[in-house]
Amino acid sequence: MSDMIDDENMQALLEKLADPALDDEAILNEVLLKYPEDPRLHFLKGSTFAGSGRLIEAHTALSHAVKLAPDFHIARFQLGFFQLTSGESDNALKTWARLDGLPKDHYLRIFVIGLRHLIRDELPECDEMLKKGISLNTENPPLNTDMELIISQIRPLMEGKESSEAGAPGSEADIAEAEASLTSILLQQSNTTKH
Amino acid sequence: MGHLGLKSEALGVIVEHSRREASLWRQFKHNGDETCRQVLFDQYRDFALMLSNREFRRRPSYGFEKIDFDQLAYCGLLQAIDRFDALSNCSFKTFARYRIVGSMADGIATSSERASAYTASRRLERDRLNSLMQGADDETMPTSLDSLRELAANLAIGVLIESVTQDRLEAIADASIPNGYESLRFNQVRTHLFDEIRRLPETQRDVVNRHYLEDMTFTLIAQLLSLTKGRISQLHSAAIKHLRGKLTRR
Repeated sequence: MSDMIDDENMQALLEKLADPALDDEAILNEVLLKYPEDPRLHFLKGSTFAGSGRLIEAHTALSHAVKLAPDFHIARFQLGFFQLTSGESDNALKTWARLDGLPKDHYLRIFVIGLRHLIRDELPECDEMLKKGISLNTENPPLNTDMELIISQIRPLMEGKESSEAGAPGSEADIAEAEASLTSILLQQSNTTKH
Repeated sequence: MGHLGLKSEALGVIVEHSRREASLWRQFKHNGDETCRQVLFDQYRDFALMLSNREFRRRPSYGFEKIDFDQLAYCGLLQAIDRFDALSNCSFKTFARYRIVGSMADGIATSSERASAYTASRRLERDRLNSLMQGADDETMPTSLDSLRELAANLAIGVLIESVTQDRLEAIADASIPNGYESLRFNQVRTHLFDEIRRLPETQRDVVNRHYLEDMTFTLIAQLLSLTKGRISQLHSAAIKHLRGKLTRR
């Protein structure tokens, strides 16, 4: 038996997960019994938990995905992003360190540079790098939505204004959008982790 | 520590409250990070005090003061933090509410007449006195009068620290400052003291703030910081002497 779920079964799994009538956790647990070492399944599980507000389990699952596949770049990036939005900036920086090995113009590396600027309150530099990353990222459009959201959130700070209610962090719409993108990214990434 | 005091204004914008709280529980429960326990305590302290206010109004007090209800509420909060299953579907406030109210109900109901006479405010004063007497009683004091003078001066520092909180300061300013110059001088001393408290080593600062500004007994602070009561007493004594030294040198 292969350690990794094949493309056909992965696609079938994603279709099941898109069905709101089904229990995502039960579906994933069943597949994980067959493929416990597939990091993409743990990444999906983390995404599912994040979407249902089970944030401790989400962190555990995302961390496990990265542990199983240290070069699963999008999972590593998303784990760091999860840590950053949990107020764990030091841990996010540690998680992202390995992404410095990506090519100079890889969008994930550029996003990380931008978010490091954000941690240091260097907002114009952050804005510039996130926009650059967005322009370079053609394979994961949902991730661009996350970064555009950050750009819109820091804009009031750059302009010296208070953030408006609509742009405030953590609104239901923002969270739903961010978590939707986490899952949809996997559609783009499912083939990139096989080595 | 990334979770304590966000490092930048921009981080405050993008950090999500629910994720931040989950992070604190995870790091406390899974990694044993005591600092996160303290942050959680601070986060829910007002909730405990709100319940204490309500119970103090509702229940017969049997001679207990509001501060006694506060101490019992803090005990309940600490127990709730330690026993809460962060992976459960129950919200912490729902879980803690029963613990905190139960702690107050049990504490008040089971206390004897003797215990009721020994209120939390007296325990706070006794904690302070015991802590400062250790220093005033040493062999470097030539006479008992010198020891007494030393003790009085250290206790005065404690009174001054209490005045650092705005509401207490206003009460003192209204009642006891006779003229403009003395009022100005008092405020200068207070401001200087406030600055010096902020410069104390972290644990000493924590003890001073929690004891004088949050009215926590040494026993409760010891539970919160996972130290012995004796160690809290030492830290308190060292902090007061340090602050007194700083004010004396001005």
